[in-house]
Amino acid sequence: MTDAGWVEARGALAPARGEAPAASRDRGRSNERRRRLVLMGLALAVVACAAANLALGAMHIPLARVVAVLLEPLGLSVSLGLEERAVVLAIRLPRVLLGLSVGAALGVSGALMQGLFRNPLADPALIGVSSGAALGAKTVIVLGAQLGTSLARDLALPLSAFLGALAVTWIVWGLSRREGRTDVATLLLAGIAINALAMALQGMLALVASDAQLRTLTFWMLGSLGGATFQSVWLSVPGVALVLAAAPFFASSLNALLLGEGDALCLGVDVERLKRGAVVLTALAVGSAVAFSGNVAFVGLLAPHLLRLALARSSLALAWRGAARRRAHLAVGSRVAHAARAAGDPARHPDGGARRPVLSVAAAPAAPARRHLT
Amino acid sequence: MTLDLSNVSVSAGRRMILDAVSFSVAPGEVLGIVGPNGAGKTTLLRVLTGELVPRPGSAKLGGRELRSQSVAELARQRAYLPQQSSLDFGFSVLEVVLLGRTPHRARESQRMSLDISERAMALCSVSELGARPYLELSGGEQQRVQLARVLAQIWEPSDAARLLLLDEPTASLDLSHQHTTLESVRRFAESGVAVVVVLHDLALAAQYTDRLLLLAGGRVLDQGKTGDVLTPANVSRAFGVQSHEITIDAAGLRLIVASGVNADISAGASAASGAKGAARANGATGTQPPSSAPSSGKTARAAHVRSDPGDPPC
Repeated sequence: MTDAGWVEARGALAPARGEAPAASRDRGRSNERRRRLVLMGLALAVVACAAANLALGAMHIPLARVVAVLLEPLGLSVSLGLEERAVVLAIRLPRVLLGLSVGAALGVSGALMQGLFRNPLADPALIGVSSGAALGAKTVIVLGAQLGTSLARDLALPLSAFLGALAVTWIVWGLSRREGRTDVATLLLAGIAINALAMALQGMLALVASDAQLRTLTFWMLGSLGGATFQSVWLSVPGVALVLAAAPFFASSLNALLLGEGDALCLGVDVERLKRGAVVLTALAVGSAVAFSGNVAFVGLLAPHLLRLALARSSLALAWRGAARRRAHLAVGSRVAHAARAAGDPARHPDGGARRPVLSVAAAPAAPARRHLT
Repeated sequence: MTLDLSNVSVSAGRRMILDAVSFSVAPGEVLGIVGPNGAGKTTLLRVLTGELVPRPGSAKLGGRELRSQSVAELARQRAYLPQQSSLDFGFSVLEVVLLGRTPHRARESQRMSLDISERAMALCSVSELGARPYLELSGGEQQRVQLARVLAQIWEPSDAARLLLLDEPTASLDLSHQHTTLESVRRFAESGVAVVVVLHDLALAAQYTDRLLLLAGGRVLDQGKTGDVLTPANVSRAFGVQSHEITIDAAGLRLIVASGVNADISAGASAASGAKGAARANGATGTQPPSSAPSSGKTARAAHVRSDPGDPPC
């Protein structure tokens, strides 16, 4: 390099010939365009899935009538059947809203976990956070019968799930760190051990549960949005909204943390505070989601990865994107499960009765993606 | 002076890791730190990053004690490149370099961050890699991208002092990139940055540093102008090797090469600088204990020892 290549410009070192930077800038711009397109597409997919979930089902309701039902409170009076209104407002709408909330929560917490553990394999379900939340929730389901009103029970459920998730995250995180580093093997071992412990405790709960509670527990393990009511939506949404609002502020620090704790510290990141914050947010999101939907797992691990692939391997920790992706994914999963059940058992009352296990179906569309990753 | 250390000592239990180290670095100056494994080089860098607080002693950056400055404040003034950076996520090269602008994120536009990152990439000749996934690069390319990241961190000249800390920046680079990298560092220093660089390759140290700090057993064995410090006597004393000076007239170079472990001299070094440093020095250049080490090697080799295992946390 010669002096001729450099000039003092705007008080800063600057290359006089800007060809190479210009080229990389163009690439940067096209990446940015692609990113925007992908995100817009995903946002549209979320809306489309939500609309499909409202319109389709064992009882077919045309989209126009769904819109009419939704607009009714705004003063537009349309003549609607009572049944249609009940199906859309009381059954499908809370289900869709809870699906969005749960998907966003798990997507964001997956992204936070992977950033926190600096490990692309970290996931709330894999390292036991979900089972901690499940243990907390099941404790309330089985032992909470004494809690008089259903509102008290419904409040105790997410709180207990949150505390369970928080405790497990804290323990796993503490066990997997040695001399300021997170050891991957220990992380997975600790997660598996905690998972096993939580399962054992859940088994003990099952022993003392009544038949009705056992049935609830079973659907719980499979994960379901079927039990969604507006009450569960309102109880789930605030926690998730808080996490969604806070997550973007962690994005650049979490990205820096991917370089290692030492490097992040040198980049001015208050590492300990960041980690505490991420642990609490993750527990809050997983607790709020798992309390009402059961164990919806697996999608959480993959959502950030799928998104990263779609965005040309770019930044992980922009957690909002994880949220967008996951919402769409979960909604699709719920849709498929729904249709499968309705087709298989058309005699039952439309949209009522048994809940559909989301987990198994949500996993299906993700399987080819996993092949692509490995 | 950008950086002022006086009487810096660090001990772990009863063991002194650094013993009364004093030096200073002016803006635009490149200070090299050389010494055998276990000499305290990494500990010294950890003091300079602000991670370790010396007791007793004072470490000042821009006239202010490091310990009195916040993590965020320090991040805008000093950047540190560890021996190895681990990054397992598929960022693009440009995104990795952009991470260097993290401390400035709140007060500058995306446009500005991008601009500075691209200039830092140009200086480290990695502009062409901008859109490539970081994980697909070779080790040497990754090292240069990481260098661009730390240069971007303290890119703009400001009234505040700027300090660049490099731990073995040439370790995984081929010959030509060793030189282009250190040339980039020199050029960057000219914009008023004080540079402290740990080097194991004495030939590179001879060519690219203004001053040299020779560290052994936690003590400063010698410091001063690079040419004055790099003498066969000093190298023998610090590393416990037999060393000779060779001059390459065509390149105007004076180099020190080693020709095997010297038992007598290393015994002397152990008396001078503490048993630990000298023992490690022997371990670095020969596998046998000093008493049975051959007093002369058959083939001459450059006084070059492998870098310490494990990179320090900042």
